[in-house]
Amino acid sequence: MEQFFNIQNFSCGYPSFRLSGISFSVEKGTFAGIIGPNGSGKTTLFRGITGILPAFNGDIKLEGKLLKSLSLQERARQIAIVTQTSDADRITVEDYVLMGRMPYYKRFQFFESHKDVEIAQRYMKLTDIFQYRDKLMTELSGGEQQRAAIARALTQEPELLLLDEPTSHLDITHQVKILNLLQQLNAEMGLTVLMVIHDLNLASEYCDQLILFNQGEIFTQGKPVDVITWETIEQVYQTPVITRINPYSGKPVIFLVSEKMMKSRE
Amino acid sequence: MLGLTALLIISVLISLTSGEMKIGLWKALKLVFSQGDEQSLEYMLVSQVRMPRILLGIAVGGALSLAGVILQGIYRNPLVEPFTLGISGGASLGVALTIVLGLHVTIGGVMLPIAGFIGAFLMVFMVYVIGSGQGKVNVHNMLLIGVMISFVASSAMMFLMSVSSPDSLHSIIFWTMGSLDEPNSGLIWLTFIVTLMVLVISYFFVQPLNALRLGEEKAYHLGINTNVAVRVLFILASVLAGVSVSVAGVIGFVGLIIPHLLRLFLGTDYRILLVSSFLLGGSFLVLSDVMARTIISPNELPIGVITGIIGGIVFILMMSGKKQ
Repeated sequence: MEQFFNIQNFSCGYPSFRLSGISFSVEKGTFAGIIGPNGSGKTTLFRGITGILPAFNGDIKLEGKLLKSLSLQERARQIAIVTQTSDADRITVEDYVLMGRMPYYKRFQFFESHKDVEIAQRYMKLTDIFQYRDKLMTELSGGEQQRAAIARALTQEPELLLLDEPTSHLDITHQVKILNLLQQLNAEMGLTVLMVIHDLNLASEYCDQLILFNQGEIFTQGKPVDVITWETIEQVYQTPVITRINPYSGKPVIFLVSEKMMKSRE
Repeated sequence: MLGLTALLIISVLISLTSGEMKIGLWKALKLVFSQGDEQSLEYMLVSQVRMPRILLGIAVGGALSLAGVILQGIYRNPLVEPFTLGISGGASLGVALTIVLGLHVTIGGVMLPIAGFIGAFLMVFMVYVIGSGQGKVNVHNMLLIGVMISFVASSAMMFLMSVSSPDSLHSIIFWTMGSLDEPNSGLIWLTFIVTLMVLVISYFFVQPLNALRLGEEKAYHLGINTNVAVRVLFILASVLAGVSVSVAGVIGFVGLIIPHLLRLFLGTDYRILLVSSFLLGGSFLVLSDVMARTIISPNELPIGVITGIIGGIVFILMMSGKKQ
């Protein structure tokens, strides 16, 4: 059977840094996370998938179709992307979210249809930003901007949602709010989510599948319980850690230990 | 949008009636539409002097504002204007060279706009080729190169001015200050038609322009081929600025403040901005021309002086008014 999202022997990058031999696949309806230290290639892979960086080698397939064979518009209907910052101009929230309909506009279509507005409003309500629809994007807080970005991405009605560290600038309230929202979308709409995430504990708690990057290659991948082990994390991050199981969710959690404590234990 | 159209019509009417010789509104309109007495001084004035200036004012004001709004859109930089990219520098250099060599006397007055256009075209070509060398356009590089080429061109022009005769110097300076006084009606119509055509073509790129508000990468994620869109829009803006600068000289500021004013009041949606820039830019230049003709009448001020002083002051007032 053809996998839903499949990356085979993929390589891309810059003159100074490149990914090599990346292979993994994500089943439909999975909540997958890409983790790894700074500079391990997470964002490079992300940019490789989105097509900003040209691939040197290998294929990326979505539902059996090569991504590079799709037009940019077709691609934007299949994959929606949320980046770290929303970086928005003076645009009202509603106009911003409506831009998610752009991949569906016909060649000489200048204005959105009723249906486009309905779709945008539905996802603004779902992400709880409908009350801000007439505000400017620049007037929203970081968490609200990120929710607007997710609403825009959902308005693209994609098969796959790609997120690059969607929670990196947020406090725990908003981190959890965003991730709960993603989890809800994943569970209720069957939306496949692939996100780059820094926080190992959040990755473990929310994702079904983790892909751990190290030095431009995949170090290991699998269920959180198989990836988040102290041996693996110490080897990749070169930091001593202790792992336990979260008694509520049964997912692994890591604890950091200070140097002083480590010495006093020895 | 209706308001702006009305403003343009009012500007045209004001321009028709005012000047050294006042003509009543009805009379002026009759002269425009139903010929009237073809021998009368008034008819000559309206058909030979005022109408051509109005047409050129609409075309050049519209073209410069439209070019400004497009360039600010693709560079995501509110300080870019049509002349940032070396277009005015190139045109001025071409014209200065023509004047110094005396080509406009030997070949004819038409040589000036032609030289201006060639100069502008060469500069833009250089910016485009150097700035988009490695297959992908890099808008930041293009902008920097444009600014640098502008400096080179204006230095070269200063050199030309320093070695030219007082007569040539005077002509060069006057050309540089800009004027809507263009004797060749063919050129006026050409400018008008080219500007309208570019307005229509640019409208097919409103979605890319709107998406580019989020940055190139995000526009690309929305399925916009930013590489193609930026190139086409850059060429369109260059044509607009090149044509208007070669016919009317360097009329600064229109391309900078009109887009700003409109963003301040109408927001950032390019579906509105493109057309409204054209309308407001046209009205602004027609009105500026009225002032240029009437303030020290019977003499005439350079229109660039009016757009700079009036435009600047109005803009500052509106900015400070908006904040409160």
